[in-house]
Amino acid sequence: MPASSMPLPAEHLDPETVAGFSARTLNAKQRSLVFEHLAGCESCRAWIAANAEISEPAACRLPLPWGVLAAGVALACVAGWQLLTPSQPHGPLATSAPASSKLASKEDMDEPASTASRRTPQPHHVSAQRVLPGALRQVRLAPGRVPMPALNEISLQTTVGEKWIRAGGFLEPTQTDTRVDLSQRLLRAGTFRVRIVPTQPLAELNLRIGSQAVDQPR
Amino acid sequence: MSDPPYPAYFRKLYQESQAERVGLPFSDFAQTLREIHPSFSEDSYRALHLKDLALAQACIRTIPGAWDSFSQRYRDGLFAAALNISRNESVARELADSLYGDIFVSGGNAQGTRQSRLASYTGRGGLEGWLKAVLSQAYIDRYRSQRRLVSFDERMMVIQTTLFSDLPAVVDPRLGEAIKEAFLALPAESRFLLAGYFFDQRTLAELARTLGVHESTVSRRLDRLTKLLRTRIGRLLRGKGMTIRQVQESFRTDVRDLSIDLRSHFARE
Repeated sequence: MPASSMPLPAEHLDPETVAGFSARTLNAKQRSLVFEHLAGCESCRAWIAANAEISEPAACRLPLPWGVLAAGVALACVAGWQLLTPSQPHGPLATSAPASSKLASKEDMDEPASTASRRTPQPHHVSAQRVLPGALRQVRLAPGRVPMPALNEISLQTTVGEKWIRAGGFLEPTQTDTRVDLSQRLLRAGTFRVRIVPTQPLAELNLRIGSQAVDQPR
Repeated sequence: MSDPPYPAYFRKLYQESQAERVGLPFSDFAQTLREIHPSFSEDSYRALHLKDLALAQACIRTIPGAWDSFSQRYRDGLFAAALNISRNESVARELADSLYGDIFVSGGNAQGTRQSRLASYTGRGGLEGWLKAVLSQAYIDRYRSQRRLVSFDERMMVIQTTLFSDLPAVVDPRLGEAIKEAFLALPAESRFLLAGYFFDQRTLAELARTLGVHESTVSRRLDRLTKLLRTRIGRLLRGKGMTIRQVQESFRTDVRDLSIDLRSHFARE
């Protein structure tokens, strides 16, 4: 019996299985058994997630020709993007960044912007307060005239709880806009925030709630 | 007493594992292989991480020099991993030291002392990966124990009751049945993804790292899955005698609210 097809423990996962999962060295059957366990075990899901933070795959999963091809395509895309994108002046990115900062709430803007934080895109927080219950059905996020520079995570947060309640996903670079459906729980919350986590500074962003554009915190 | 007969290739495996360099005698090496994996074939033994297994066994037996090799090879890496996972130097130091405490135990069961945690390492994967997995488990245990102090579950309950206080008290039981049926019919990986996202509130980035895929892939999968669930639940509800209008009413209970029903149905803890 090969090592990779050894049976998995019936109860919680063991360290070797978790390590194998993170390193992607388990075979399909084992992986499926792990998923079966994980689907019902919060404890092991937390463990797997934590281990993924410090583990690296044992090897590239793509066979070499595909890996080379993929790398080539990626390089070509990067080169193409640089050719097609007007060059930006060097220096602090803050100068070219937040047109979207007009959407940011005061409390977010009050945060000191260190040089480091200027280089690293920060989440944009938009607050829209005193929304009438039931009036909020959909948040529409549109990047305006320019396409989004990169993949951007969108999530919504009620101020009722401490946790982010996600109602969103990703706005991909090629998308011109996206719509975020809100759940019943958000409809009941009088205050909410939209958090956009850009991978690059946003040039422009329009936020709409229902059919009404929101230019500043209400 | 003479050694039990071992296959001839055990000698070769012994050489390949460099067990002699860490001071592990052949008899101990062979006995370990037999005890841990009694039914393995030669190929299966070869697939094991024999060097790591030999080092672990030498450490368990407190063979002089083995711990030095172990420390040299893993100590810094473990601290770096602990720092990476905890993002706090003192916590990282504590985690790494605690792991060492679990591993570094002089003596064995025979003396009635604690057995080193390394005894559970079987060589199926690399020792470094195993150590990191044990480390991350310790971190999660520590995190959980601290969360319990601030009553994480209670806080969650407060959030739920705050947000759902005006939900109708009675939800059509057919909805719960349909949700359960549709959810269980999904492949395990899909259920894992939904559970991670909706129950555990993991970010797309975290899920992507766990699965080794891009974040947008996770996003697309989740999108597809929620749509699929809705379709299937709708179909099941129609099959249970609901009208289209009733089905639509049911869907006003957002798919994100599935967590409340499903958690009670499927959570093992």
